[in-house]
Amino acid sequence: MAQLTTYIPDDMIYCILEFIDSIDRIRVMRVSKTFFRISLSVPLSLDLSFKKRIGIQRLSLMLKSSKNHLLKLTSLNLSENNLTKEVIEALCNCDGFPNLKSLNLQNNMIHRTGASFLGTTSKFKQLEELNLNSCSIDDVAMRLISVNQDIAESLRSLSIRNNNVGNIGVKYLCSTMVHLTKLDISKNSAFMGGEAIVNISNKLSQLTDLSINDNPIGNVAELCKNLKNLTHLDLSNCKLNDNGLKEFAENSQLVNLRILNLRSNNISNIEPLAKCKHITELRMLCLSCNSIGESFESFIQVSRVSNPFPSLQVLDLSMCSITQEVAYKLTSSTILDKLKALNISGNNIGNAENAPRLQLISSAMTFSPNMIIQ
Amino acid sequence: MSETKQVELTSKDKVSFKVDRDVILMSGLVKDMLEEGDEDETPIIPIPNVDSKPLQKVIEYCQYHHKEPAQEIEKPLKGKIEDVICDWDKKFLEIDQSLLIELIMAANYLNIKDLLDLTCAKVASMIKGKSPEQIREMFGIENDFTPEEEAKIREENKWCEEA
Repeated sequence: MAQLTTYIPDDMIYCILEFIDSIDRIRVMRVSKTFFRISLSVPLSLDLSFKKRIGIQRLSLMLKSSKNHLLKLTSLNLSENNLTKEVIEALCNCDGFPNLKSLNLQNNMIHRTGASFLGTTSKFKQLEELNLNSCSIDDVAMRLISVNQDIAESLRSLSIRNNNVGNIGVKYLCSTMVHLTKLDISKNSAFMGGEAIVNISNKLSQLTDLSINDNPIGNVAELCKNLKNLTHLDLSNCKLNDNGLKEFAENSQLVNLRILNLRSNNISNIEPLAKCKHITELRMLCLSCNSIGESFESFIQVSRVSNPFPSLQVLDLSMCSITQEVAYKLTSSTILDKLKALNISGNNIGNAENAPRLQLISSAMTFSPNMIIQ
Repeated sequence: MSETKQVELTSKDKVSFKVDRDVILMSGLVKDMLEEGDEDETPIIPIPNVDSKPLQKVIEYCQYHHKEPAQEIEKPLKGKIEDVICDWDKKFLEIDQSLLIELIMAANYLNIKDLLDLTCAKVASMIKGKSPEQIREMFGIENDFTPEEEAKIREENKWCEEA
C-alpha cells in the first residue's frame, strides 16, 4: 500500500490540503504529526454560516479552544447564526486568529452591544473586509465601530447594507475609515442627505466601488466631484429625478467609471447624459424602469454628434417606455457601436425587435456588475 | 511534409519512450532541458526519478491535454472532483492508489502543474469526509501522536468533529 507521508514530500501534501475545505482540513490534523504541521501552514477560510449548521454552542467551543489551530485563518463567515452578545464578545477577544482579513457577520443582531465589542477589540489588526449587512446597525453603533483605530486603518471593504445608518453614521464612518475602496451603504432606512454625500465625496477619495442604492439621496452633484477612482456606482432606486440627473451629468468628474446603475429612479429626461464629457470609460449603463421613452429620441440625436459613451458594451433599457419609432432610431445610433448586450425587454416596440442591428445584440440579461467586461 | 520532432525519455527502470516534442513541452523540466540542448537531434532525456508505469501515464496525459487544455480545479473542492473535471480525466484517474501517488511525484518532478493539481485534487477528494482513522488506514499512515497529544488535539477540534 502506498504510504502518503513516507512517499510524498511536505509540499505535495500542502498541495493536497489546499483542495480540502476548512472543516475537513481541521479534522485531518489528527491524522499524523506531518499532517498536523502542514495543516497549520495552509491559509484557512472558514464558512460557518447558517447553512453549515455549526450552532452557537460549537461556535463558542471553537472560540475557547482552537487557539493554535486557527492561526492561518484569513476568512471567517459567521452569517445567519443568531450570534449572542457573549459569542460576539468572545470573538472580539479571541487571540486565535491574528491573520483574519475577512469577517462576515451578515444577518446577526449585532446592535449597539455587539458594535461596542467591535469598537474596542484589538484583535483585528489585519481586517480588510467587514460585512455587517442586516445587523441592526444604527448611527450610534456605526460610531462605536468607527472609533476602532485598528479596524479603521486596515479596512478596505465595508458592507452595511440593510441597516439603519443615516447622515450621522456616515459622518463617523467617513472620519476614520479613510482607506476604504469598497463601500455598500445600500438599503439603509435613514435618509442619506446631502451631508452624507459630501462626507463620502470629501473623505473617501480612494473608493472604487460605491453602492448607495435604495436610499433617497440628495446632492448628487457633490458625489461626482471628487471620487475620481470610482469604477462602480450603484444609484438604483435612489429617487433621483431629472434635476438630479442633470446635476450628475453636468458635474461628473468620474473619469474612471465603468459601471453605472440608475435603475428604478424618477428619471424621464436623459438628454443631459448625452452631454456628459468625462464618463468616456463607461462599459455598462442601466436605465431600466425609468420612463425615458420620450427623451430617448433626443438622447440619440445629441449622441450622434458626439458619442458620450464610446466604450459602452452593455445597455439595459428594459421597461423604459421605449416606443417602436424610437427603437428603430436606436438601430442607427452610435451608442450601439461597441455594444455586446442590450436589454430592451418590457417595451412596446412592436416589429422593431426584429430590426437586424437590434437582433444582433439583444439578449435577455440581468444587469450585474459581475458581468465580464473587457 | 516535415516529420514531427521527437524526444526520447528514459525512465528510472530504463524504458524508453519516444514522444512528440510539442507534447512533452507541457513539462517545465523537459522544456528547460530542451532549451539547453541541440535542436537538430532527437534528444535523449533521462527521467531518473520516474518509473516507466507512471511515466507512460504522464505521456498519455500530455498527449491529450496539449491540445485540450485542462480547466483549473477550484480550491478548495466544493463537491466531488468528478463534478469539475472532464470525462477524459475521470477515465484517466481510474488507477490504483499506488500509481496515483507515483503520478503526483512524477507531475511534481516533471513540473506539470495541471497534472499535479488533478492528482492532488483526486487524493483530496478521497480524504474528504473521512475520519482521521479512515485516512490513516487508507494511506497506511502511522499515528505518531502520543495518546496525550492526540487527546489534546481532539479536545481543541471537538467543535468541528460533527459539523
